[in-house]
Amino acid sequence: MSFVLNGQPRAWQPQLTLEALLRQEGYIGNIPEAPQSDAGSCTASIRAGVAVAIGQQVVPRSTWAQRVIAQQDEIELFQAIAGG
Amino acid sequence: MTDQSQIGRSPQAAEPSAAQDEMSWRRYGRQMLLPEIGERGQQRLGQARVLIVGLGGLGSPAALYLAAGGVGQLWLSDDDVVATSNLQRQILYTSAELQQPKCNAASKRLAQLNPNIRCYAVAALAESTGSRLLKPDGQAVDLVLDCSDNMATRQLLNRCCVELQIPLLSAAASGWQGSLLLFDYRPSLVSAAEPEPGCYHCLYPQQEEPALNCQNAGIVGPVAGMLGTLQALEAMKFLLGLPSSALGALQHFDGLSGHWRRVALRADPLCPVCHPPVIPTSAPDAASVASARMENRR
Repeated sequence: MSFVLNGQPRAWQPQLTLEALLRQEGYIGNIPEAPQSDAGSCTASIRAGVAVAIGQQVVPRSTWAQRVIAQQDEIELFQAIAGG
Repeated sequence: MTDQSQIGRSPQAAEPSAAQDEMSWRRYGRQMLLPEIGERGQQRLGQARVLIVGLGGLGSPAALYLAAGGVGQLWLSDDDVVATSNLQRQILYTSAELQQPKCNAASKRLAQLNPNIRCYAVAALAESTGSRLLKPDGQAVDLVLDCSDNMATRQLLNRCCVELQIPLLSAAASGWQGSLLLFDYRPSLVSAAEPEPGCYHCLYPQQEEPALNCQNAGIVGPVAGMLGTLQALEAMKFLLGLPSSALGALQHFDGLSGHWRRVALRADPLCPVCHPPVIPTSAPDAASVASARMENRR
């Protein structure tokens, strides 16, 4: 039983949310938590800009905490790029 | 796919004269031969107005190809000067133009390339200049190209485009990586898109600069060149009213492996920028844009 993260198989765990996975992977929580008083500030604790897609569709940031990872999910992370 | 009939058809635009037609065929004939372009498409390009924010590794090829292809008005925004370390990828400039403002050097180069179009240098993007840049002579541009080099500018430009309902074609490059995004913020198309693709802020809500940028991660010249060239291609298609594969999707390029990845965008129902459409509270202010730009300079 597994899911795929950036092309690599991972052991699936029941009730693992996208938010928890990204926290495990170090994408969330490495800078001080911002007060979660409104929709905008809940994004402030992401270490570096990262977007997430499951099954080729972006999962909006505000829904990561509710999104439970299913077996066979194919998850892709896209680090923000700002250079030019 | 999308109705873009309002682009390149200003009511006061006169029919081209025979002399103009002849000039067009001489200069643009190789692209006018394509059935998707032709004389009518070339006229649309000639009447189009595009704002390019950032004249670096992305903006160089984007501006060169749009000028060469006869896009009638290019509005150019960049407050930087040409540095030696720019020349590895910023192909608008030569070693003779070091320390010159990029806007001026770019306008001169583009006018030499194609004297039949108009290039205008405009102010750098800031909180106070946003709407002036997007409506440089009171009339909105048809399309904005984000070729900037920092997250604060990207967020501010996105917010301006959402507010003024102007389409945004955004590219970025760093290291071996590049990305391309097209958002059509015109009201009839925002509501028509299903599922809703949202805005740049829905995809990347973080205001902080990414850990890696051109200065600390480096940048491979042709990767920036590729993304800037693709921006020019998608811009021309957009101005011609052709469907774009960049619309509603994040396209990501890895120059090291040569792989492209493409995923569909989804609006964030809690996005403070586009849901509801006008709440500019969390966007960066002019000071943070300016300080990010200073940090990114060498």
